[in-house]
Amino acid sequence: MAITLQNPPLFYTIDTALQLVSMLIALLIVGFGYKAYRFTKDKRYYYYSVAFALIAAAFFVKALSNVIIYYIVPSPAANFLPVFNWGIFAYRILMMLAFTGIMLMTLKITDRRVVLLLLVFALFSAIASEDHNTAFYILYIIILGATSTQLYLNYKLKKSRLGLATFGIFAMLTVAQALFLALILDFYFKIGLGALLYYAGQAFQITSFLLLFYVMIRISRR
Amino acid sequence: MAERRDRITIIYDILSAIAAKSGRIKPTHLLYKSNLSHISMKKYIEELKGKKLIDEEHVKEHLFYKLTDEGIKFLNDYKKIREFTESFGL
Repeated sequence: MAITLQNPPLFYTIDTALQLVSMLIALLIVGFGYKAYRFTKDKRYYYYSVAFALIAAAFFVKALSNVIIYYIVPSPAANFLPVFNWGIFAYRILMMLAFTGIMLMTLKITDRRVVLLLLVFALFSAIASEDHNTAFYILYIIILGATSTQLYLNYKLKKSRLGLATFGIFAMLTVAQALFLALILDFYFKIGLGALLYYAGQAFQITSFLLLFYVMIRISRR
Repeated sequence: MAERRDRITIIYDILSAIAAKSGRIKPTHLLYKSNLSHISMKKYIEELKGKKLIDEEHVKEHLFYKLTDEGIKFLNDYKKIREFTESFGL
């Protein structure tokens, strides 16, 4: 069973829309990163672009699985789970690879053996994470937390507003995943805050992507 | 110790030095501002002229290097990439 089975039912359409908006914003970074790579021939930009392409693909897959469940599958009770589980499975792998890559670049880890090892760990945890995605969210929070911490240090060093906003993006994404993890705990302990946690998590996630959009607009207008 | 500049940063520094002088600079000033040896600067100048990022201009027997529209576009694009790099801690 997947965690989103507890989502507020009416949220699927909004959920899908938010995922598509996030996907478009991620594609903006893909374009900018690739342009920067073409300009400088610096592979950092190419890999950053690839990481955001994976994020865009993850949102697309999730949105697609939502659309299939919500609009196409005639009898949700019978056909819901396989589609949903495959959607979530692909989402987990793509997101984990993308954010592990971003963390490696932000922390400036360049040793190929370490990079490979961390990517394998991330991939394995994404594949093996069953039981409501608990392991996936815990590792996801650790990766985003490490990236946020580094971005905070980067902001302290550079003292730029956009640096602060970028830290804000990753910090909010971390909070969003923590709320999704809390949603799982809520399910286990039957606290009854499920809908609230889900809305709050989605709000943090979309706000972080909108902030990302703002940062990219500011950079493009320079 | 100061960090070693890569090729693209040197090009940016040369073009910025020209831009800072209202888009036109004398070779001696450029040599001083770009912090390069004479031989290195000559190589870069040839490359930049080849890419049409700068142009030569003669005013009363004095040689000037002038920023072209392509050069201004390069500067703007590079500034954006630098801002992106700094903001995302890359």
